[in-house]
Amino acid sequence: MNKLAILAVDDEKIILDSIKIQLEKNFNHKFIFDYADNPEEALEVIDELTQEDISLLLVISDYMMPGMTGEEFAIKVKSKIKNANILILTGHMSEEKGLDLMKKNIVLKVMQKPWREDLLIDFINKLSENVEEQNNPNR
Amino acid sequence: MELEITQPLFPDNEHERLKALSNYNIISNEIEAEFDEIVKLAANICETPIGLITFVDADKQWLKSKIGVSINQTERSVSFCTHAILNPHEIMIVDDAREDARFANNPLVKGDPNIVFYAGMPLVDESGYALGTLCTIDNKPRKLTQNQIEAIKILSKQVVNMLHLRLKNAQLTESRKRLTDSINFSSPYYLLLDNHDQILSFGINFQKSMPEVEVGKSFSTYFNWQSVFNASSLLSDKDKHEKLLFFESLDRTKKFKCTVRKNDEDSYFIFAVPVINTLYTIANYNINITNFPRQDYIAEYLFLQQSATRGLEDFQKLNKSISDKNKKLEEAKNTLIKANSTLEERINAGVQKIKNLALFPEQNPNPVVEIGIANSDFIYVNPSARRLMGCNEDNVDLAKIKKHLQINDDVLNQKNSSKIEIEINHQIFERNVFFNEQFNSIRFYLHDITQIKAKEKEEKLKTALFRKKQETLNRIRKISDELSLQEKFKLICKALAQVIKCDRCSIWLLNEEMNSITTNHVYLLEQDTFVDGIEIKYETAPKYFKSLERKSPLLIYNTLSNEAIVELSDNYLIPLNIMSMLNMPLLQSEDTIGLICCEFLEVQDEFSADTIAFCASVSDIIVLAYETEGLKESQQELEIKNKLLKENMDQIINMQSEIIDREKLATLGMLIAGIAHEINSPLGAIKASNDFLHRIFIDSFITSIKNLTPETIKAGLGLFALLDYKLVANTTRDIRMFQKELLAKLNQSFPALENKVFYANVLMELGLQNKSEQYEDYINHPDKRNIFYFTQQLVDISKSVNTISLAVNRAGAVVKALNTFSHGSVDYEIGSFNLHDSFSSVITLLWNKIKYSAYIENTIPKEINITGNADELSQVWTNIINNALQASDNKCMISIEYAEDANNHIISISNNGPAIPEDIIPKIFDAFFSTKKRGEGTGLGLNIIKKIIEKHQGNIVCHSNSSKTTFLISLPKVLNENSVA
Repeated sequence: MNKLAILAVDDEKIILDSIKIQLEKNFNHKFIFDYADNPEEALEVIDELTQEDISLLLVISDYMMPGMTGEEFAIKVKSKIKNANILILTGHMSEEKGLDLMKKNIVLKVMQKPWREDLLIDFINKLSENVEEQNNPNR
Repeated sequence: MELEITQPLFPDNEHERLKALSNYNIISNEIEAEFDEIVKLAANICETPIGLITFVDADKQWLKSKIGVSINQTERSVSFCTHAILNPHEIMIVDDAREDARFANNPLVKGDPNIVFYAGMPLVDESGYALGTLCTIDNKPRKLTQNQIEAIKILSKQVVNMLHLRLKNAQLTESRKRLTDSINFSSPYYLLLDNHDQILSFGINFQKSMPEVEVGKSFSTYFNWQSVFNASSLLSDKDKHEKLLFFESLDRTKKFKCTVRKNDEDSYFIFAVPVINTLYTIANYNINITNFPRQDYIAEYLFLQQSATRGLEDFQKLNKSISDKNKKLEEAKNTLIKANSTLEERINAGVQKIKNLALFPEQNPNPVVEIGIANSDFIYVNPSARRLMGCNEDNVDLAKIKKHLQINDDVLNQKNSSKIEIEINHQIFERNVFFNEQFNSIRFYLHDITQIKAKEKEEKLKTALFRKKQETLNRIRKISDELSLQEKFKLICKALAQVIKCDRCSIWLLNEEMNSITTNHVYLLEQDTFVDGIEIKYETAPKYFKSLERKSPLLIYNTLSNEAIVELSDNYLIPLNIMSMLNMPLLQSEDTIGLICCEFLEVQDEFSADTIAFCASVSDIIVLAYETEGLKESQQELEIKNKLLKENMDQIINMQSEIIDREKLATLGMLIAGIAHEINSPLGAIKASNDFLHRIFIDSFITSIKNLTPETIKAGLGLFALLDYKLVANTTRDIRMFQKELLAKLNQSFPALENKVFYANVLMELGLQNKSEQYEDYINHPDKRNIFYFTQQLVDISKSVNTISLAVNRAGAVVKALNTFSHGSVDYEIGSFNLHDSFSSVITLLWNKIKYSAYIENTIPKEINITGNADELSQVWTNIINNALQASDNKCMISIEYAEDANNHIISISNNGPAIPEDIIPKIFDAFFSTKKRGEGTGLGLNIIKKIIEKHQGNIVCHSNSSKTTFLISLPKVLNENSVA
């Protein structure tokens, strides 16, 4: 079975580095990791992954980004991959706005920056398990 | 003998005058007693031997009535009267005709009757024509007194009245004759009967027809009515008095038809026509007129009836007018005679009295004392004086009299002392002094003026009371405004009670609901104290309250019998023994606001107009005081309000500075979201890096080092030493690109290498993607896996440390900017600061907004320092830049430029965002002007900016067009320190 991919998008290099450190340390080679420092590039990466027939487990995205917001980005991602899972990591979004985005099923989850590493990892683990169950219900 | 006499002129209206004269038909020698009497009276009054009533005809003068002469007429040319009538309204008096040019040669003067004196008053009729005169003549000179002249004038009027009456009488006689003729002519058969049917008169034709008829006999002596009732009874019934009736002679040979008509209260006419050869029937008193064969008789009858009625009415009218005139004449005559005699009596009495009093002081009712000048023993005391001074005729005490009359030698010597007042036996006299030449004495008349004096005194008292009232009014008017209303009321009550002498005095005020009146104090006159007042409620005395509505004073002479206050009897009037009451309403414009209540313990007969007027004046003053009190209250209220206003004002001023502070906070608030993110991000990075470092060191790095050979560690350190940060990919795109290139290279150079991605990543993170000559040795190394793994750990550590360093720098920059922005100082400080750094701080704080899609260029030279409050000016930059970002949705180019002139720094902040509409540019610096949505802005931003700039003695302007919006701020290089608050 092919590895699943996780794509992280953040315009702040230090944030992206932090995410990278946390993901690679915890999951090592379990997933394919891709990083983009702006949403446009992220969309390109998604296209590439699709071409390479690599399934996307999760997109981790900042909210305030140059060019478009996390919401706009999420909608664009969903237009490419209908059931894409999107996690927003944000430093300035109200709880209401977050709940609203989740309710509308635009994003799967919103996490506030600074985020807790263990919660992020837990979330990815559970998501991964769910996806595996769906893909191999008999196992 | 030729006579030279002066011909009189004719009156202007001579022609009409003569016509009028002839109308009176007076010129005859018939003696008329009434006129003679007047002539006699006139002669008597004037004490002349001759009196005349003359009428001046065309060329003769007729002496209608005369006394003292026998002639009936004279030629007009010699007539005195013809001169007199030239002035119809004035009496002509010739004192001495012999001396008068008009008459000196008159034969009547020169010869018989030797006229010397003449007084003639023209007789002027209603139309103003002087017909003649009433004149008196004497054959010696004389003068008439005013009274005599008046009498002649009155008498002359009387003559005219009589003339008029005479004329009317003549007219009446004429009319009466005409009437009789007319009746005789028109009604040949008439009878005049009295109410007892006795015949008073009858017509000529009737006499011819019935020669036996005589006046004085009864109707029934000759005739029979053809009906059951007589004519006179018919007359009482108005409806029937014009009915056609029938009667016949007793022998039934002559028959008459007639109507009856009332003449006066006592008599009636029967107008009849004979009925000849006629058949007629009478049934139940109703006559069937169609049975009359001779219709012409009926027409005749109707004609007769009409003319008779007319004649009768004329006759009656005349009759009445004559009797009225007669009556009036009689009255006038009586009055005249009476007046004349009274006048005479009074004149006589007066003259006599004066004579008597002067000659006979004995009879003078006033005290008279006469004292000889030379010989003061000579003394006369009249009875009145004797009575007054208690001495008798024989025993006159000169000393006592002198003392009483206050006579000293001066008085006796002076002869003409002025009058003085003296008092004897409580009587007051006016002492008049006269010198009596005859006896060389002084006569003292005493005139009793006791009553006059008493009246004067009374007047004086009244005046004094009036003055007292005025003074009281003035006094209470001046009652100080410092006093409370009730204190004023007390003073007023006391003053009022003392002036009008009421036993209890109080001032009552109605409450606003008009259902209760209250007085706080009642003044008691006798005790000169105040007692507590009471309240009267509407429920207890509705009638009394009703009476309060009246706008006029309520005067109650007896409280026991007055309806209006009966409700107050048991609980108020009777216990307090109040018998009379004067209530004066207090009227404010048209409303009763209360009343003055003056109460008396005794029944009063009358409240004088003065008292009421006084109370009314006091009531006005009370109302004024009441109004003043109201004013005072509203003034106090106003003062309180003013104070509040001032406090509010102060609050507003405080608030203003607070608002400015808040605006600063708002600016900060606006920044905080961004700033929080700016700090959060580095913090997150630091945390992640730190966690990673921690784990690497504890979990793997230290462990892995333990297991490595020194050679491997040495090789790994060698590889790590190749790290070139400058070549490390910066963007994810580069990373992916380098990764692909490296993988391709490794695939080519080391096809057998396992896990090429791992090696590629390590090499890429070292920046060695293009330096195969440097890394090939390591890939060929037998322990390459451990070397690369160790190196990667070193790179990771290095990266984390780097990240932490970067993050700390970032957070530090934000904190520094924040510090610059808020300056961290509570006090307001003016100082020199670097303009470039100031803008940089602002940009840092706004970076979170700027970084995505805006571009900002800070071209201010780094060496520029300006003077001012760094906090406030940072606020200015922040606001302007933030406005530009907000207006353009964070997508614009902002350019910050600097210029200067000799005295000013000029800072321009421009952006290429949407233009500010031209019409709102003038308003953008106004307070509370905002184009932002509610909640997004206070509308104070630019207003406060302007204030800050003005505080720095600079100015700010804004230009905007489609391509560029620029704020130009000019700040002086040198501040006038004193004016920067």
